[in-house]
Amino acid sequence: MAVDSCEQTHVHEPPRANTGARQWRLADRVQIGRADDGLAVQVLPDQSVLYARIQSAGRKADGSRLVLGHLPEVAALGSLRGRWASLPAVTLVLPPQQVLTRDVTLPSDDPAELHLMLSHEIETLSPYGAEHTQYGYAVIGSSEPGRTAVRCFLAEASVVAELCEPFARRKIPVGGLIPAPLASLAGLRALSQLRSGCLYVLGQDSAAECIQWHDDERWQGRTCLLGGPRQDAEELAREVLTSLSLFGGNPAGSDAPSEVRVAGPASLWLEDLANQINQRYASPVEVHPLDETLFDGIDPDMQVPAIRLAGAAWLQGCRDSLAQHAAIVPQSCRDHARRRAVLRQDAWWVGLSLAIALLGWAALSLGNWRMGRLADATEQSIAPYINVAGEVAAKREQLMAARRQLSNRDEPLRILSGLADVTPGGVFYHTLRVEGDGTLTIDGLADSLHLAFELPESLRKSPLFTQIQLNYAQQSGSGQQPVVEFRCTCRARMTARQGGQRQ
Amino acid sequence: MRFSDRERRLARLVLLALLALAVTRFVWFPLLGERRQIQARLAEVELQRLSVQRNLAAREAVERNFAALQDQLQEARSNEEDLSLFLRSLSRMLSGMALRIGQVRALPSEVQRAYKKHTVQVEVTGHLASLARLLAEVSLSELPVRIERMEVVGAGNDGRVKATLWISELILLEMPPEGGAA
Repeated sequence: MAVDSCEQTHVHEPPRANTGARQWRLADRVQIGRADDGLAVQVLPDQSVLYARIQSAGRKADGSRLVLGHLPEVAALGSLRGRWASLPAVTLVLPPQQVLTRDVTLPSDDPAELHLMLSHEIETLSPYGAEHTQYGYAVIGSSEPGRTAVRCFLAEASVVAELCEPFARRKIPVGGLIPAPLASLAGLRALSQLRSGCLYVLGQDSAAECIQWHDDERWQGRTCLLGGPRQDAEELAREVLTSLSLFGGNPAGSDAPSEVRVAGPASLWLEDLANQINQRYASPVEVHPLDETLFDGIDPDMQVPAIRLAGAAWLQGCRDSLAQHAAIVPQSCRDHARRRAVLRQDAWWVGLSLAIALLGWAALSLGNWRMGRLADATEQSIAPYINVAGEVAAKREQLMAARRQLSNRDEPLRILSGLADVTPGGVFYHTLRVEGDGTLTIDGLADSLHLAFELPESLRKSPLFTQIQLNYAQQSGSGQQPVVEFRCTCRARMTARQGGQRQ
Repeated sequence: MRFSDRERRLARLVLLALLALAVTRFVWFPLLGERRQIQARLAEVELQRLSVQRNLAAREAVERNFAALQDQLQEARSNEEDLSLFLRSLSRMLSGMALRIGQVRALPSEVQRAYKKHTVQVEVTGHLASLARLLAEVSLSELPVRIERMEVVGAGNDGRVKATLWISELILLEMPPEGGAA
């Protein structure tokens, strides 16, 4: 990513949209890593807004564009939202006066545990109380295994909410607030200005930041609150000397800075500041302005905000350890993220359910379609033979009826003949019934019970009869010639009866 | 309105249950119903196919057997004509017998898809030998007639019997071939 241009607008109340806009070009030295489209914003003390648009263009970092500008608060943010409605979030720079920095060593080197431990430590670290504190942190070193030094940036929740409120009112999502010390350090890195051991003094209005960087795990920062709205060389030199003593320890030591680089209004009276420092510091120190080619045409008042904004933009696009947890995420953003996560989870479940239902529907529909196709194919395959088969079936039916009709037609005659052959003497029939199914009922008279009982035995000897049963035999009449009435049933045994033959 | 995690989980479960119910009611059940209909149709078609196969396989044998019986089979006319012809044939059979004909009554005809059967109830009185001759005549007739039922009762002491005969005649019907595959 590179800064292509810089635009700045000084706006005084009441704010006017894009009136009197001035554009400054920052040197093409802002290098940031991967970046999503986004917006870095710094609200200045006069309530004007300085912003940098981050726009990724393809995969090449140098094809991206970073624009610095200055817009009236209300109109500018409204138009920003309208223009870049799809922006994921805005990154704000948290002013140095609103940030407390605390270093703490935690007994773990697991990033997940660090976060949890720090949340418990906040109560002791923050003067605002854990409930009213919002924080970000950066890992600044692991001096020994299992222990990690963490630099924690604390802000009062109400201050964060107040800063975010104008954005929230216009429904511009604030993704995070970068503490000014970190933004300044990142800005110096983005502008390729970081030199190991050098002390950087970034003065703006009533505060000045002193930063010394050796590497990402060894850097120190100090925010000095100055007496008045304008700085003077004597007061600033005093703070610089304090910082030199704090950061460098012994002036003759290896970590003692030998060079001071100054940005902001202080660069206007650099010689005076250098004299003040060298008069009081034991070791000679060179005092230079920050590379002036960076700020070609930019007012000294806007130099430090520009550096911080470049840093915020750099951190927004950066994925390294320095930027990972540095941003202070406002509660509204956390709620928004939580709502989105819940919505995403719900959508996932609904999508999964619908997908399962859709799969079931598709499987069942496919099965139905295949069975329908099979039925159609079978119907088509037999269609040419339906008529022929129908004729054959009709003839078969007729044939079977004819066979039933014509078979065993001599059955009654054979029954009469068979009965005549086996009937013992002394047995007389008076009624004979032959049913259609071959059931034979014989009612008759016998001279004696013995003869009546002999009849079934006689019938059994004949191959014509089966299932022979004597239903009753009872003596009737009186006197010298009693007779026995009887009823006997049997079935005629026939061959191939009732259409037993096929075809 | 803010929901707690538990309430949200419950709401999600309820929504999922409602979704499942809706999907079951409006998608799954209709599809299952459609599937059952298609399965029934498939089974019907498969049965039809088997029937067609069976009929086609038996076609030659059926034609041969049918041709062998062709001479004995009667073609259909109107019921009155059929019955008239049947009674005429019956009277020819009975004419030479020493049997006294009592009541002759036409019973309701049995009409099937491929044939119909006329049945006549005849009461005759005579000697058993004459009855036996009649039975033999019927069994040897070239017409498709048979005695379905018979009831013989003694009629006096002179050896005469009274017989009630249910005699039927088969008439084949012309059938439209469609739908006759079963």
